[in-house]
Amino acid sequence: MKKSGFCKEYAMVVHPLDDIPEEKVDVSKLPPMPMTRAVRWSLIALRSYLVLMIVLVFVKVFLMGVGGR
Amino acid sequence: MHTFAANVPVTARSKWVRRVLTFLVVMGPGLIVMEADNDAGALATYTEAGATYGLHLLWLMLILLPVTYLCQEMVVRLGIVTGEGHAAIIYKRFGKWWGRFSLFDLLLVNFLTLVTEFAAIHLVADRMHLPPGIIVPVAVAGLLAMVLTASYRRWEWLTVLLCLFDVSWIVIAYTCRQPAGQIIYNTVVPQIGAGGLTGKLIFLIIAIVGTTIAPWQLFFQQSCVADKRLRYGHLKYARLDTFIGAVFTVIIGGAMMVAGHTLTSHGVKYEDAAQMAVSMGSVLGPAAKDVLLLLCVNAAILGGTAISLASAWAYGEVKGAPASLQLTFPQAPGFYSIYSLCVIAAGAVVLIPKAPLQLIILGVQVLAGIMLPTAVIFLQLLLNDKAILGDKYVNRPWNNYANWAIIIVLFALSLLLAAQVIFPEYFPQ
Repeated sequence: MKKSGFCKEYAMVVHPLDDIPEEKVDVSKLPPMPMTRAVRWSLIALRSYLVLMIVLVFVKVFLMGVGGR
Repeated sequence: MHTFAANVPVTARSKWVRRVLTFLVVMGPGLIVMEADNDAGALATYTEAGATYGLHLLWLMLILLPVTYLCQEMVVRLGIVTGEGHAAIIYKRFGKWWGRFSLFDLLLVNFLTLVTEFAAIHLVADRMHLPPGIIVPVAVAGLLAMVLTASYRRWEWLTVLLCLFDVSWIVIAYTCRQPAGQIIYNTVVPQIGAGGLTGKLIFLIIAIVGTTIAPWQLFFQQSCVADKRLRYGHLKYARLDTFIGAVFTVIIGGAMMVAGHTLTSHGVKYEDAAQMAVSMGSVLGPAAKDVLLLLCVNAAILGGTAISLASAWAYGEVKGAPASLQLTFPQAPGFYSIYSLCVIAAGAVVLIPKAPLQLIILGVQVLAGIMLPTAVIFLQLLLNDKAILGDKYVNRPWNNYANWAIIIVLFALSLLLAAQVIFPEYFPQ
């Protein structure tokens, strides 16, 4: 089979699970994504923000529960 | 057509037939991820929005249509190019630290969301005067049975059938007899209603955004695409599948709002989706009540299977363990154990007496809305990674502009929520 999933000459449609596996990009062979220090610290700041927001949501839901909305 | 489910190729006699057949072969992940998104939490959020604000928030659905499509289309590309799930890619490209954090986030929100699915089933059982102690375990057993056949195709077709049952929402909305002109007007003209921008409205808007574009969807669809082994040549069909799914989910979400509005416009107070279903019996007839209760259960089952699979796939990908619906339990014990553990534990949580179920449902949608910007930022970085996607599949500039706009809006909404919690006096209730 061709990698498009069907043979044009026979116009045959094959379910991908029945087809020969296609070659994909092997991510494990790639080096880690290059990240500048600014990007790295931005991601850490993002993580801190996320933790804070999760706490706030729990507070909000708790207050709504106590106040009966 | 039945041969799709069998291991037999189908011969097409014309180009169009071939295209249609190929689409039918590829179709599934996009429709399922979008419709499973209309889960029990979404049902509760949309119907509450309709009950509280009438048809005034319908415009949000129209805005969320391109947003949800753009986010999901990116994971389709990543999945087809790499043949791996989203968690695996984050783990391999950003390293173990970020990979494990992302997995923790996903498992936490997914588990809480799964609790809401069972909470909805509990509420339905209560309203039908059936014992939740029996109905919830039956639902758990059903969710386990869906995946334990070691066949991706069997699971997919069953799930697509459940998705198509949601067409009933359109029939329900039609029988509500709301003025079509008003529905169209409220869909295309953004407004916030007479009460202004209150704290409750902000909370509900974030919940709607959080329920329409949830982090688990990114992980689920990419893993689904990888497990189905979609090929480069399938990309355009997978995009169409995703677009159709996005349109379908937005229409169904709008229909849920219309149903919620119809309830309160008949003078009935809204409590939760199951109560709405029962009360709608007196508005639309007893058949509507039964259909709505079944739709509530359907939403919970759809969401339950998709969310549990997202967790199980992600766990397998990060741990490097086999994770596929094509494998049997002995071949992928970690994958099936995580799926089973999530389903059984969430089912057990809702059987705890006097748990504030409707509040948990709404709170989880907000949590998902807050976590989404982080997930989209990782997605944005990955979709600009030429080492993976090359020049052909990497994001175009317009993709990036749209993504950053989405991220900014999502952050603004979550900051509004933070402001509302810290300074509630500035937000009229």
